[in-house]
Amino acid sequence: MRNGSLFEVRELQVCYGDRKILQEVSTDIPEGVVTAILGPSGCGKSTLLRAMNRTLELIPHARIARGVIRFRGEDLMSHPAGPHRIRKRIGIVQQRPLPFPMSIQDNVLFGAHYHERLTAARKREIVETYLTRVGLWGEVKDRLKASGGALSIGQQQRLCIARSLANRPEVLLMDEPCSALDPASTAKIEDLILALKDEVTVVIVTHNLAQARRVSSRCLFFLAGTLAEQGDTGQVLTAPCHPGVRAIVSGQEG
Amino acid sequence: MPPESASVGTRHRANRVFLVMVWISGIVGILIPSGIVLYLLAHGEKLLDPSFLLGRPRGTPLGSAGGILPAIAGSFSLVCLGLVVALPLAIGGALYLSEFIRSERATRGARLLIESLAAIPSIIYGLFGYAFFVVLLRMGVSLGAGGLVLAIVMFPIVLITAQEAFDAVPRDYREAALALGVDRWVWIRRVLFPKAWTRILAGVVLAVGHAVGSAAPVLFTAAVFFSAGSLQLDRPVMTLPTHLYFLVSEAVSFPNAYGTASALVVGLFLFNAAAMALRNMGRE
Repeated sequence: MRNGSLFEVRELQVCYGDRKILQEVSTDIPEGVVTAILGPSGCGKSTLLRAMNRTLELIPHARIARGVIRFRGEDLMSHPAGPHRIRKRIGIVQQRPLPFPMSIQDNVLFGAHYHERLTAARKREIVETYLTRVGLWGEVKDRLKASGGALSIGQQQRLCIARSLANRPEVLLMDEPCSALDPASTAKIEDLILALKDEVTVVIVTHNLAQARRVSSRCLFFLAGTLAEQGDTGQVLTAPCHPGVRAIVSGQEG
Repeated sequence: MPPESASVGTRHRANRVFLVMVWISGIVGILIPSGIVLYLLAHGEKLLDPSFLLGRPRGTPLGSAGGILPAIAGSFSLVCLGLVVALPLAIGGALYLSEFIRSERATRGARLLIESLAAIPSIIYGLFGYAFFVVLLRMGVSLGAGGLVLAIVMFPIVLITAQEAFDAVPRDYREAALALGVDRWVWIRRVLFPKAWTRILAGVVLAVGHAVGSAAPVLFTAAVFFSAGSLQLDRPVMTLPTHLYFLVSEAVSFPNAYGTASALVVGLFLFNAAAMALRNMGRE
């Protein structure tokens, strides 16, 4: 299944009320590579992510007006697994780190413990595994029962990634995961993305072209709710065909 | 003088006037409640007398001697009973309005009704409670009937603050929790409640203060001038505000009236302090 299409998006149109946020979006997101979703603010990048793990329907007035998203060949909206299982399989990391009001270890176990009953030994194993995975274990192993909110912002974001990974998702969607972070924390998260890409497909929304170049091999470039350009990251960011994309790429480069 | 410096001068004066006004309002805001409390405590030396706090009313006319223990016990049990009924209903209602209802128009309509309920004068609750619980449901003037009326008094206050507490939790948390595939109950129990409960507690404090101090809701539904202090759901009780009302309106004993008022105020103060301590514990 490696490098097959994980998601197929066909003529997707998403509206908030009467306002069209995404129009005529068609793309394939392959498995096993990092895909970046680029574009200026408000162009519908986050909306696409939400549609992909069925959290769009949690937002009042938001709806898929037309088109279809298929996940492993099956329509996401009528997927037999239902929204809860789908959200477990398709994890998301939000822009702002949002640790839940509980201990560090309970944060990691929040989803995992819901989806399967875990023994105490298995819980410890999961906490250690995923905190290690995000490089947080050494920093917090002596205070696993401390509140997740007591960590620094960068640590909180890595805790949130650990929380999503502990669900063992097949895809990890990341919505500008570094926008609230300092450069050192950003570098840690980017390293993590590169380390993760062999076990989980990553789709990352970013407005930072340099970041897209560092972590992704494919990219989708959105402008005003439409998919303006897609392809290999290197090609899209050096020689785009779309004039609007070219303007942004050369503007930021020059 | 150039026009800019004139406007700077005006702004400077306006700033100073504003500062003075803010200080005056602040001082008035502190002086009024502390003045009332100090006045009560200064006249409420009875409060220091253990036989006043722990005794039954005695003397002729009744209440001119003895203590107020049955009134303390009555007020306490009325409020506890009211909370037991009102709290789950109010929090459930707030949760429904904040989490489950889809139509904004329905939310606004419900809020209008609940806010109106909170604005109804408490004597109306008393009359309603008398007509409905005491007479129609044949509960009699009793702890049970009064507790239910106080539940109705507290319900809208707790509901409004609880709904505001739930709405104050950023929506991002909801998305973050549900995005992990958990069901709504897990999100409510493990994230929403822990994030909101300190604000809900503030609403409960407000509601209890309102309920325990009002004579009108319990005057016709629960209170009697004298009871020996047995607390049974179908028996009437004494309460602090009605006892105070009887002592003053019949000119029975002003020292005992001040003592009763002080007991009410000190009791509320202790309750608020306990709630605040609980809240600080929750924040840590």
